[in-house]
This record gives sequence, structure tokens and C-alpha cells, in this order.
Amino acid sequence: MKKAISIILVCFMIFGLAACGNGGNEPAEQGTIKIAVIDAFTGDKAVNGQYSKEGIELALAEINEKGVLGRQVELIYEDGQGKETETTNAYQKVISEHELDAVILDKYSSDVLAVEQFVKENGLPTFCQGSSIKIEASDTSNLYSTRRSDAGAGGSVVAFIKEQGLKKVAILHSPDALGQSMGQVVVDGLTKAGIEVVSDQQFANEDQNFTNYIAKVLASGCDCFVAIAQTTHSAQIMIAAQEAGLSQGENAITCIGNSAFVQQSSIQNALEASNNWYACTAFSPTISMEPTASWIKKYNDTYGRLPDMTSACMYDSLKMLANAMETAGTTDPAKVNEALHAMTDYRGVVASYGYQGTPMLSKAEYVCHIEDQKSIVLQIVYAE
Amino acid sequence: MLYLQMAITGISMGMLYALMAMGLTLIVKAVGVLNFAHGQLFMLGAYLTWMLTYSLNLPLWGVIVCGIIVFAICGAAYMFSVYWPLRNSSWKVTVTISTLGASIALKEFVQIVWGTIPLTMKPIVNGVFHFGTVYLNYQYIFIILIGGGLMALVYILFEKTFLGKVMQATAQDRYCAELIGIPTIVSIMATYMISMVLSGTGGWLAGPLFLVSSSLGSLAQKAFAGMVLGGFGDVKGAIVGCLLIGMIESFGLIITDAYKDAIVFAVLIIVLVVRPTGIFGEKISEKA
Amino acid sequence: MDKAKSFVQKNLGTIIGAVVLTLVFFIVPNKGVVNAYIMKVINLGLIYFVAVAGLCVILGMGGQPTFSTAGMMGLGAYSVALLTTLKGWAPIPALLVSVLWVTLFSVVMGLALFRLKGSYFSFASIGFTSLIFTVLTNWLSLTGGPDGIKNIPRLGIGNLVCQNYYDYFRVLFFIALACYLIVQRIRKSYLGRALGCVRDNEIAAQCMGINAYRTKVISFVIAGAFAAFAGGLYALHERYISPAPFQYDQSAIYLIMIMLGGVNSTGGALIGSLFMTWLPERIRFLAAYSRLIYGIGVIILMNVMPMGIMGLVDNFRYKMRKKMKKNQSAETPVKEAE
Repeated sequence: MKKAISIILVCFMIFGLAACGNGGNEPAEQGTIKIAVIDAFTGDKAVNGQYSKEGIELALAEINEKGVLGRQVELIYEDGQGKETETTNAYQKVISEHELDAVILDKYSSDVLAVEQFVKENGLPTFCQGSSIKIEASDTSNLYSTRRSDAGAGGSVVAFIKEQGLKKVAILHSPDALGQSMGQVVVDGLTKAGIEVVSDQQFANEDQNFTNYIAKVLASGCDCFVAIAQTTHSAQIMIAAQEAGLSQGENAITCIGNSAFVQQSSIQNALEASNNWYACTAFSPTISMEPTASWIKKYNDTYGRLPDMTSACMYDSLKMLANAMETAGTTDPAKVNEALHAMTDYRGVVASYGYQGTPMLSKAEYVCHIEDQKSIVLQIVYAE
Repeated sequence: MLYLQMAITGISMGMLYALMAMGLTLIVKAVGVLNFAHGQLFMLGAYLTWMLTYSLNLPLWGVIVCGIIVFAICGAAYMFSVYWPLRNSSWKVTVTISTLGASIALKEFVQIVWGTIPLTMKPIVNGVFHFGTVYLNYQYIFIILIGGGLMALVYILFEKTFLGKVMQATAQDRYCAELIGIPTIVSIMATYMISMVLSGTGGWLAGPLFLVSSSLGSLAQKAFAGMVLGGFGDVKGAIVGCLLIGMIESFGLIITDAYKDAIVFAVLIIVLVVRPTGIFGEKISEKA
Repeated sequence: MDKAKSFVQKNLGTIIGAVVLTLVFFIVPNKGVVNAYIMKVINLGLIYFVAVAGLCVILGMGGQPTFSTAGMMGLGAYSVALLTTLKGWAPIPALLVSVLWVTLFSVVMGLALFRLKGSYFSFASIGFTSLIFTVLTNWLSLTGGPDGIKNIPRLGIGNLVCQNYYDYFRVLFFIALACYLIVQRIRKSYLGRALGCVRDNEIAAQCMGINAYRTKVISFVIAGAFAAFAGGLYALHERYISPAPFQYDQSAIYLIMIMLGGVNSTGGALIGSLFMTWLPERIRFLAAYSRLIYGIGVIILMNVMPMGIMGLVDNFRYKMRKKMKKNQSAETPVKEAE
């Protein structure tokens, strides 16, 4: 009897699930162009989702003023928590329940790689901000990233070190995909250029205290310190480096970071500790070049704070999609993909974009120097 | 010089873990379950003091006084929502599960209230203390001093005062304590309050160093490790265990960086397998 | 005729169960009934159930809360992924070999970890899972690091391959059923009862001649095998894995599943795993508040029903039976006396 009841209950559960699924199904509206946005809106990485939502809403308002092909764009937000299982679930949800015209994914490479199989299957134009080398190597032709790959970004770090004539380099990188692959690229590049790598360290995700890593960097006798991390850790690294007199003071050496180091939230958290850092980045909230500068001003006016790279990338993604749909004259995925493939020089707020056979669309990067808590562009590095 | 720096960092981190582990140990002693939301309570402490300092603009003494009151209230509220309804359950795991739920809820709560971007907090005294090439942030000196002071206070409270004896009696045998007229609800509540004050203070001290963000809670894993290493339910052991964990973490960096956390846990497992009750844990024979 | 009737009466539960299961098997995996997304969520729930079934043995019967589930799943998932993508093995043999070696590995780990008791054991199992996670993240040359492994083949034999989530459901349905029956069998075996004794009173159990240490290690090994199997299925179902889903906080979710479903029953484990996979999906519309509500929900559910959903059901049935007995005895007092 006990068994019977438990089995019946199970069945109720399953039917309950089924019923819910059907309830969520909406008929496809002819009128609007539906684009799904999957990002981390809750959980540890929710800061990213907040910025991306702000960026994409800004683009949405601009686009819907005129409309695309005479139609309005509708965004469907779904939370992936920055975790791959949740992202795949969210992706399946939006795909099953809506007639989508395109998808925009978050910046975490493993999330993008997890849904790549479905992206390939359904052929929808899909934007992401993943920068992993595995994404660059992907043969999914309808996947696009608004970033340069970690290999490209690592290459510009190496080029900058060479140019500065530095001899001994110490590296500290994060344990995630970004840190591991970009760290490897930098180490390989430096070794090839005959520059000595005196210390190569990886910190752990739970780390809050960077004193020991910095102490090891100091002890290694290097003249250049390269740090690769995500935003929260980047602020902590800059603070630890300042405490040790690594980035500022009489014994300061050249400190180079990745894009996270010049983002608004890290500068805001590190305050004066951020001064004197260099960074190779695709975007910085204090860039004075057009059209980026006026966009940043607009963003600041709308939300009362400066944008993050994620906001800018999300803004560009939606704008590019709308642009491609206009060019193609239809929202048919195959045609839109063709239009995107034919795109050679689209000037977005982050960079110029163009399709070069890989998902990586971004064509340029800046080397910035942080002075007085503002990043100043020193040079522009173009992709080969 | 590098080793000296590592030792100093290890000790200061160890002290921070110890502040958390002491609270954990008190709860383990009182109710016999691990509090998996302890890291989140630590983080909540940092956020609450941030609020007192920057939203309410209180001076330092005001922050300390109000902080202790607010922490005590939080501790009591936490106890009534997570532990009290389940106190008579025959499965201790139920309490574990509700603390797991609390850890998820608290992490989201602070992000909804204070936003997802980390907040910055000014340290008590700004600057870095140098002796030779070795340096130490002043905040760590405060951590060591305040942490040490709190440890002494807890020791005096538990060993020398009547309230401490009441709490110990409750921890040892709740049923008996009730029989001799101890209001166990009050004494368990007091334990939770003290525990929250300890970890909240830890959060207040750590906030300026590591930024106030929801990832502060991840420090708790090391505090757990320290507590287990020292032997469950032993405050002295927890402190020594945490200092050891801090040191292992620091000096582990000499051997490996990527597997640094692995070393901490490997040492822990090995120590436990060799000495199943931790370093200070006494073997108490069980009763049938 | 009478014989048939009594047979039906005796096995009423089983017959109803079989009918319902058949209906579920044929009705659920249809595009008209559930869409691909819901199907995937149910599938995930079933895969998690396989892992939670192992917890049923070690926690439900043996009373040992372990956080090693996610770690063992990770080992299973990565072995399947590596064997199929690197060595080109077919999914089924890869699955079997992975389960086998993880089982052997669990024997070693079980022998070491069960030198510890109670909370020490629980914490050591957290350490163990963190260790595995660190290795999976950092052993770049083998595991691909945080980028993970993609292009894992679909589950299937020869030409019979699961093409979509509906096919997966049909396979997972039987796997889950088999796991359910295995756990039910263990529950009624000597091992199950010995575990129950150890859980309720270890010293008394030892006095009765039960080797507590060995019994607990065996339960750990069973849990490890189930978890490895679930991990392998996860890899073949998602077709992409990275170390992230095998962190210790995922183990905590498995514990929540079994505790909310009902720690003392296998059906409860199934309900718990389906429910806890479904709940976060169901409350997606709450957006930023969804995780907060989820966390609070766990606390409230635990407070309201400490023995889980099945505990609640049992309680209800117990009360009903008592009531019925009272009514019966009031009506026919003579019969009761006989």
C-alpha cells in the first residue's frame, strides 16, 4: 500500500510538471521580434547580470524608437546563475516556450560551451561574450562573441611587455577559464620572445587575501607583474599590490592587468590603489574616444553610474543584431547569419567588429593606464 | 623574509578564521549541529556594519554599540527560524538542511538589499605597518587584538560566570538542564547571539580588507576546517586549529599554488584519519 | 476465482503502481504533453534521483550525512567523458567501467573516511569533494580545466541512440525504476537492517554482532556507485561537462532533496529529487528574488515537515488508520475482542 501511494504521488508530481509546462507556452506573436537574454541575474555572479540588463535596456530603448523592419523588439530575460546546468535549462526554456529570433548569452565561457550544441542545432544567431580559446576554435557558424579571444588579449599583453623592454615577469592568474588560458598564452608568448617568466602563480576562487602571492612576486625580483582575474578579485589584487608598494611608491614596477582591472566596479573598490596600473582591455568607462565617450555619458545620465564592459558588450550585441536584421530585410535566422558573416566593419561602442571566420568579432583592444582613478588610453592594438 | 611575511599573513588570517570558528564551536557545543550558514552570518555582519557606518553615519563607538545589539538580534532571529522549530527532531540532519537553506537565502538577501557590486569600507586606521621588508595592514593588528580580546571574553564568560555554567549545562544535556530549572531556550538563544556577535565582528574587521561582498562567506570553509582540525566542540582547539590552517594555507604556497586548497583539505583528512577526534578532541566513550 | 481475487487484493498496490507507471511511460514523453524544456528538467530530476538513491542507503538507512555525492558524480562524469571523447569508447562500456573504478575508489575512501564519526565524517567528505573539484579544475592536460569537455556522445548502443530528451526519458525511466527497486531490495535485506541498527544505536548494533565499520563502508561504496552512475548519465545527457556542477554545494542540494522528499523512503527520494529540480525552474518568474524564495522555502518546508514529504504522508496515513480503527472498534466491539 505504501508503495502504491508513493508511486501515485510521483505520478502526480510528473503530471503536475507536465501541466505547468503547457501553461507556460505562449503563442508566438507576429508583431514583435523576440530575443532571449540569458545571464546571471541571481547567485554569486549577479553583478554581471545587473550591468548587462542596464546595457541592453539602453539599446532596446534606442532600437524601439524606430523599430526594426517596422516591428518592435521584445526581450525575454532568463536567469542562468552563471552556472552551466542552469544556463542550459534556461536556454531550453526560452527555446521551447517562445518563437525566438535570436539569443544573447552571458560572458562565462563554460555556459556558452554548454549550450553550443543547441546553438548549432537550431541555427539562431547567438551572441555571447565568452572569450575562451575553445569558443574561438568553435565551428558553430551562428555563434558570435563581442570579445577578442583570450589568446588575442594575452598576445597584446606580451606585445606591450616587449615594447616596454621589460626583462623579468611575474604572473598571477585566476583559476577559471579566463585565467588559465590567458595565463598560458602570456607565458608561452613571453618565453618565445626570450623574456624570463620568474613566477607563475594561480590563486584559488575562495581567496580573499593576496598578501602571500604578492610577497612571492616581490621575492622573485621581477620588473613586471601581470595579473589576470575577474572583477572582484582584481580590486583585491590592486589593493594588495599597493600595500606591498608594488604598484606605487619608489620601488614600483610595471603592473599590467586584464580588462577587469579597468572596469568601473574594480576602480571604485580599489580607489587610489588602482593608480599606476596598466591594462589591456576592450573597454574602459573613462575612454574619451567617440562614439564610446558619448555613449558612456548617456549611460551615466540614465543610470547614475558608469557602465561596465558587460553593459557595453550587451548594448553592442543587440545593436548589431538589429543592424543585421535591417540589412537582411528579414528576421529569418539563415539570412541574418549571412548578414552577420558579411559584416566587415561595424563601429560599436566597445570596438569595431567584423566577421573573420571565427566567433570572435571584436577587432581592436586598448592598452590603458590608470591615473587618478581614470583609465587613459595609451594605444590601440588591432587584431591581425 | 618571505617566510616571515607568510607566517604573519598566516597568523592574521588564522585569527579571522578563529573568530568564525569560535562561534561555530559554541553552536556545535550547544545544539550539536554544524551551522552551514556561518559564512553568510559573517558576511551579513560586514554588510550590517557597512550600513551602520555609511547609511546611518554613526561614529565608531556608535557602530560598535549598535553593531553588538543588531548582531544579537540577528542571532536570536536566526536561532528561532532555523534551529528552534526543529529542536525535537530525531534527525539532526534536518537542522543542517535548514542552515543550508539559510545560507542560500542570506546570500541573496544581501544582494537584493545592498546590490550586487561589492562595497568599500574604510579601515579603522588607514595604512600599512612596515618593519624591514615585512609589512602588515593595520587592520590585521586590530583583528589580532580584538580577536584575542573576544576570545578571552568568551573564555571568562563560559568558565567563570554563572551564565556560562548555565550555557554549559544546556550544552551537555538539554533534558537534564531543563529538569533543574534552566530555561534552555534562553541559554541556547544566548549562545546563538554570542556566536553571531563573534562572526559579525569578524565581518566588520574583514570588510575593509576584502571588500564587502557576498563572496566573504567563502572564508567559512577554512573556519570549518580549523574547527574540525582542532577537535569539534572545543573552543581552544578551534583557535589553534584555525591558526594552523592559516599557516598551512600560507606555507602551502611554497609547494604549490593551484593545489593550495587541496593541500589544506588533504592535511585535514590525513590528520583526521590518523587522529579521528582532531588534535584537541578528547575521546569520549559512547553510552549505549 | 477466489484465488484470483485474493491475489488482486494482496497485490493491489503493485498492480496500481504498474498501471500508473505504464501510463506515465507512454503519456509523458510526448511533445504534446511536455515540451523539451520540461522533459529536460524531468530527466535531470531522474538523474539526480539515481545519485540520491545512493544517499537513501548511506543517509536514510545508515544515518551518515555525506557530502561526497557531487565528488563521486564528478569522477563518474569525467571518466565517461574522457573514455568516450579521448578513447572513442561507446557510451555503455564507458559507463560501466567508470562505475566500476569509482566503486573501487569508494572502497578505499570509505575505509579511510569511516575511521571518523558523525560530524567529523561529514566534514571530511566536504574536504574530499573540494579536493576532487580542485583536481578537476587544475589538471589541464587531462580534464581540460574550467573549460570542460564538450562533444560527449549521446547515450545509446550501436544504432539505437537517444536522439532527444524524450528518448532519454524513456531510458532514464527504466534506470530510475531499477534504482528504486534496488534500494527497496537493500532496505529489506540484512544490510539494510544492519544499517538501521547502526544508525539508531551503534554500540547496541555492535553488541548484536554487526560490524558497524564494515556496514558503513559498504553503504558508502553503494552510494559511491550510484553517484558515479548518475555522474556518467549526467555527462551523456548534458553532453558537456565542466567542474562547476561537482562542487560541494551541489552535494548540499542532494541532501536537501532527500531530506525534503523523506529520508526514510525511496519514493520520498524520488519525489524530493524531482521536486527540488522542478522548484527552482518553477520560480524563475520571480527573477532576482527566486533564489531568496528558494532558500526561505527550504527552511520553511524543513520546519513544517522535518521528515519530508513522505514523512508527512506517513503521518497522515497513520492518523487515518488510527481513526478508522477507532471507528471500526466502536462499530464491532465483539469482533475486535476475538
